[in-house]
Amino acid sequence: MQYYGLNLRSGRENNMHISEGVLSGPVLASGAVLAMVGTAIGLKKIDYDRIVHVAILASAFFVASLIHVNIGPSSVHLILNGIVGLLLGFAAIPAILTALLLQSVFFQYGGLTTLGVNVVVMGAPAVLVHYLFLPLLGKSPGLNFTAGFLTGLFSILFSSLLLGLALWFTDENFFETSLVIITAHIPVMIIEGIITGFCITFLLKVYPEIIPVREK
Amino acid sequence: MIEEKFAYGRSFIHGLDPKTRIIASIALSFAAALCDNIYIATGYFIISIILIAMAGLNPIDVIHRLKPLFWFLLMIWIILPLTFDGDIMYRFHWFKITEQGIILCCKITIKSITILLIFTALIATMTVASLGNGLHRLYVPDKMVFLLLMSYRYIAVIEEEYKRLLRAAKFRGFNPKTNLHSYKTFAYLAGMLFVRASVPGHVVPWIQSKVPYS
Repeated sequence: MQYYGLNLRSGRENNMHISEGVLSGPVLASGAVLAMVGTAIGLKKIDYDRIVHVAILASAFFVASLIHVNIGPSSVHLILNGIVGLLLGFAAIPAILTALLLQSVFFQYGGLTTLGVNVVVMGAPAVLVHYLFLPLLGKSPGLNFTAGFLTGLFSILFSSLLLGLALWFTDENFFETSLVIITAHIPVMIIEGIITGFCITFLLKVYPEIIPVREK
Repeated sequence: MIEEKFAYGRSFIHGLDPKTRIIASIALSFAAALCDNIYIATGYFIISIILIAMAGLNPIDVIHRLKPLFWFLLMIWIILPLTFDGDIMYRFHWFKITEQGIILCCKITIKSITILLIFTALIATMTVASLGNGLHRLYVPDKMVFLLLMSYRYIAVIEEEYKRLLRAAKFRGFNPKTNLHSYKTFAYLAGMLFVRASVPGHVVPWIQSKVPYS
């Protein structure tokens, strides 16, 4: 869909979803179990007063991931699991599960059997960057941008590494495919880092209450 | 506009109970994903085509929906036959195509299309509200169902906000390119979506006045 010259959706999808029919039974089962455990912990941390806030952030994550950014003649769409992780911590996992399920229903990005693996691929790095980079925020403007940049960069780096590992555990012959996937995501890591850096700086400037560190 | 294109219809599948469709979809999808025999996988593929026909879906719309998958399959077909170990079918200097690589690509192609067709026929043919109802009756935790339904409710609101922000950016002469200014603008757009998602409505115009687009 084109909207005022900007792609809302395009045919060229460079996303972090592993496709159906590729992974082995043990990898699918491990992904499903880990996703269930993560979701259970995440849901436990969300009380009913906060659930609407998490739902709206999941919607924002869903819509923001449809924004396409130019890289030369091509374009990639944002993933932004790093920001969601930074804002929500463990609650990011049910939020990401919700967004992925809705993406499957609306656009058919992935299906049911890989849902667990995809939640782990996007959710685990989101939680990790929350604990790694949240303590760095709010100290100085330069550090805010750096922490935001590292949040975006490492969330995509960890996600592509997990994606590569899932393929490699399925079959050692997927090693080259994993390397291609990780290499193909290097420009996305940098773009996501820059955008997350600016986004975090923006959020701290106009609405600092959104960042959990300010609540302490 | 994000819409539930296949959710409304009068077919046999549309009339089935959401709970039954969710269970059938999970069982068939995992059976197809775990089968290692290409002939059995073809059998599941035929079942998925029958399900699509029973749901009365437009084949062109269904193929259009599978487009993201085709990019992934294209990558698999380019890489796997060249890198997979096995009996060599064709060799030209360092360039070799293996039989096992081709067979694996066929299996992945059939299985992935089958699973997505099953999902389209059984799950995409119900509204998100029905999906939530089915999940609730399958003892999925209430919080998770509530999260799904509330997120769905707010997607239209946030998407509308996104379109409004894009319009505002275009009116200020924003023309996306591969440069820092464009990335900064996209970052502010994404940031505004998160702000819009978190603050009471009356605060938003004040925050928007601080967004430097041009």
